[in-house]
Amino acid sequence: MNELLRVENLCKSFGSGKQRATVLQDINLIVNRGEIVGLAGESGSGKSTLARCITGLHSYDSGAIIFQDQVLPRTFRTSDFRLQARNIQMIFQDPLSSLNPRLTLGDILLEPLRLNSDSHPDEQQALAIQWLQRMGLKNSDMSRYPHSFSGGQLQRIGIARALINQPQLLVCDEPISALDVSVQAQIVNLLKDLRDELNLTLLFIGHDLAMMRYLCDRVAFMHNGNIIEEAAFYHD
Amino acid sequence: MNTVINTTPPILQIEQLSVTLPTVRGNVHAVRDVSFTIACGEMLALVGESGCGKSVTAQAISGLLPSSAVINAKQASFRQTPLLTGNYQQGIAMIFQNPMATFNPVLTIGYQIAEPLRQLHGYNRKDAEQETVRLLERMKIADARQKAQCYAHEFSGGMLQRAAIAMALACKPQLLIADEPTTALDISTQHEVMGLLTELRTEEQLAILFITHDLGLVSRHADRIAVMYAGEIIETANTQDALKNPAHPYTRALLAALPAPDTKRLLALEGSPPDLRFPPLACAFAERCSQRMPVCTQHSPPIVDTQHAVRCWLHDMSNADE
Repeated sequence: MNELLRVENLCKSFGSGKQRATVLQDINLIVNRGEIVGLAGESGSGKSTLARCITGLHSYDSGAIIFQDQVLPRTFRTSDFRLQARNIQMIFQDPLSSLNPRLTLGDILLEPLRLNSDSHPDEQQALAIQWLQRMGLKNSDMSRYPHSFSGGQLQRIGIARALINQPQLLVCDEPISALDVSVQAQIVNLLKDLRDELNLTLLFIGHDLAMMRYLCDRVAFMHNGNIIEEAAFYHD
Repeated sequence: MNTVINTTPPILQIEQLSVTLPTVRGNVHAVRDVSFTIACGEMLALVGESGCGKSVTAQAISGLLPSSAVINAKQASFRQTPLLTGNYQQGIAMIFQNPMATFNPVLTIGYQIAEPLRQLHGYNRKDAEQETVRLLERMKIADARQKAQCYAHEFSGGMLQRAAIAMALACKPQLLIADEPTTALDISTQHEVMGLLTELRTEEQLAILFITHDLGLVSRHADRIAVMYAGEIIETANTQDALKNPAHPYTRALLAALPAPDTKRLLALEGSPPDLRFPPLACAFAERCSQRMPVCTQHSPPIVDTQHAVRCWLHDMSNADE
């Protein structure tokens, strides 16, 4: 198997002195290319912190995160985010608060291209429209603002924004927990299809085990900052 | 069919309720022709996706809608007295989705639970304090006496939701309206809260109107399920019946969207619900329905009113040729 991400003996704590809280204790995790790995556990077990360490949103104390055989910096600088933007992307639980309310959908999709791609503006525009259609939205939606979309549509926009630069790894932090059951199915099917189309690798955080069995190839259970169990699901 | 016929008279009776909310962009017909009853100690689950009118129905019953809302009903009574009079209705309490927003952050939990006891039921300070501790203990909160002195931010989500139930119980309700009380909680704490609600139902004959979008969650706890779509109740049946033999295509679609161990692919329902400013005159679900017939887009379907009521042309008796 082709290894994409390796987390080695990762430790992370917040605060200092008496207030110090250790959130991740000696985490080891391997994610292979093209795999969907689930991360399950209750609130406060450290799932989101681990995800945020991998994407560079949190610095970590000790251990190492190795992505494509390169050790990621312990604390990300702006230039590191630039560099990693085309490798690792993230989608969040609340799709509305993760989109800038004052940008139109067009600007939201074009921003990552403007920042991280050298292609011609016309090409960027075409790519944005292509993703828009892939997400089941209309061309005329380009000039609408986030508040006028439904939760499921917003989450699809978040996915399009994350994938428009063709990252290797998509980290999904409870992307369906805030959605209706009928819309959850749409998003999960979409993630599954995208994985097959783009040979994408997913790290999927959630607490709905039935849904994780459906979506994931493997799941790691977290409790109090430790991975306490790791198991594969057999899909026939 | 193993239908249980409930012989106790209903505590809440709603017949042909409709709610119209005026907005700057036009009148929204949020609830249309909704009828249901709840008996003592019964849990009725009101299920449907966001925007289908389940919360507006609950708010109409508890009198929380703004005065600009136009509420009409052929009959609406609670304990044989008329509802929807605009006055405070004693005996109905409510819990909400976000327990953090339920509590005032600058008052202690204990003070807020004691408030209805003193205001509504004339408890003195000492008795109210004692009753507050008892209610918190009833909700399985350890060290209730100390915890009553805490503020909302010192509680975890599940604990806070249990405290919110304690606060609702302080009103001594016969009907509890639970508006997605577990949506913001973890699966393990969800289980705790559901267990407590079931306990209250059996021990204190509390009637519960449980609002949710998760059919899986209510399958083990509710007696009956009413499925709402676009402001209408499209199917009402006891839980077993509704889950095993769903009659309406929308209910079937909701069930197909839940993963089972042998699911090859989830069947997601495509499209979105209609704009309730211009509710369709015929079947509201026709546009997304896989079993659509010509009649579905022309006339509103009748309610086939039996133990398992359904609002769909597929089940119209005059149409049953097969």
